[in-house]
Amino acid sequence: MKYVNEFRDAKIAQAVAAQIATLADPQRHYKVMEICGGHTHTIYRHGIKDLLPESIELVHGPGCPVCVLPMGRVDDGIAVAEHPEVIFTCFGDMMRVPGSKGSLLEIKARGADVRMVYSPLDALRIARENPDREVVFFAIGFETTAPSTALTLRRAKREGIKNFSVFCNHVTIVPPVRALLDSPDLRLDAFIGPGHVSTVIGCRPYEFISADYGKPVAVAGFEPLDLLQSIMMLMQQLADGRCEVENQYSRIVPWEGNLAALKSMSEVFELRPFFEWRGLGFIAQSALKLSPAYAEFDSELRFSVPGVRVADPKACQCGEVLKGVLKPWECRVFGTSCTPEHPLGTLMVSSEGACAAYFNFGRKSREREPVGAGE
Amino acid sequence: MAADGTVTRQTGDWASVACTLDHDGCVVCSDAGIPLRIVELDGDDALCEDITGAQTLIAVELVAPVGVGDVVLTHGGVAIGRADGLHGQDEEGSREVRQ
Repeated sequence: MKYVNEFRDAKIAQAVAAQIATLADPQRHYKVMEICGGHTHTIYRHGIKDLLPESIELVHGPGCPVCVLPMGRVDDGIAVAEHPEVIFTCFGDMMRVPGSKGSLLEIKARGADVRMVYSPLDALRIARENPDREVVFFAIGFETTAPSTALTLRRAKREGIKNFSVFCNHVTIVPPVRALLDSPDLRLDAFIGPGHVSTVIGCRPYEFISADYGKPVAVAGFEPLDLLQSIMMLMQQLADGRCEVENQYSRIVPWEGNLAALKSMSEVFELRPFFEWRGLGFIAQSALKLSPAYAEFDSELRFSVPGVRVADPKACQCGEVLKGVLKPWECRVFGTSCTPEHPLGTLMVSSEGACAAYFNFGRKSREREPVGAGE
Repeated sequence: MAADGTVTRQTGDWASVACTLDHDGCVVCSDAGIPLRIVELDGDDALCEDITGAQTLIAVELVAPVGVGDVVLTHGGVAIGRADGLHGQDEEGSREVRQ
């Protein structure tokens, strides 16, 4: 199959894995963080971890926007969705994310008009078709997703649609990475950069990681060979004593990103002064809100939202897993009271959440590393 | 979960194919970039198809200009990148590295 089999060739994978093994110093312990939840998913789904030498540890990063959303924001969204005149639209994964008093799926079961959409453009279409209702889109995601919200709002403005608004929870990737680098809890040696975020923002925003912190970065694609090659590139940099930003995913990612998408985002959004991340706390200038030119489409100005900060359930250790301090199976509720069918924490909701990825695909590793091994 | 504590999961054919319109992973996360080929242009939108032949309408104004036959990377119904590198680079895979 074009563009798939080429990147899943077992013989090449074994050759790259052997090369990684020769580059890794067995006396050293390497901690490599994959920032993106999609990479976490690939690592577990294809057993990448089992191809690496023991000296290389993969640490899962904060790159799943559903997973880093604090419960208070879910509650705010639910408060908007409970307005009788509202048709509340969101991506599928968002429906099951638990707030402090339930999920969007649960209030839908109680009668709220909550609808799953594939694209914000679908939400805009619903607004056109229902001029007597208020249609709200729950916008969430990193810079991969923000352009689609921006494009939708530009179309809404151009068409003069008045019954459409956005509950904006878009976040940006660089500030949490900087927060992790500044965290005393975690020592990281290298980063696998997010592939599709970089399609939009390019590779230049990661240069501070190598310039200011002396850590190598490889922006990577999402097939098994993409990840193995990016790890090989990082190990080569470490072996050479270099720290640079390299682009393994150059077949998709332009070095400068997508300038049209960035321009669209800068027109529609502006940075929030601060935003709360689950597990990471408040991070300055790490999220987007609608710019004054698009304030008429801001759900938070159109509806009253509680805006209350809600603590995670006591048993849930998503925060520690998000920071890479705990492995998914080391959480005390992993696979018992917290499963993909009945998630307690957000990391078990999204298929890219580290816990869900591990639960679904991490069988071999789990046999090798029993629950509680990290205690 | 089995009695021995192992976790198993039923996987269908989707597990062996790339991201398609039928299975795109988590749409809010970065891995839901689906490469689609443009079949027909309609202003700022384009009818696109995935590797299985499934078709959908995609907004292409952020990657303009594009033409029929071009491969675009799409996310949430919007094309966010051009997969120019897929043309003619597939034999070499992803060997190209920008230093």
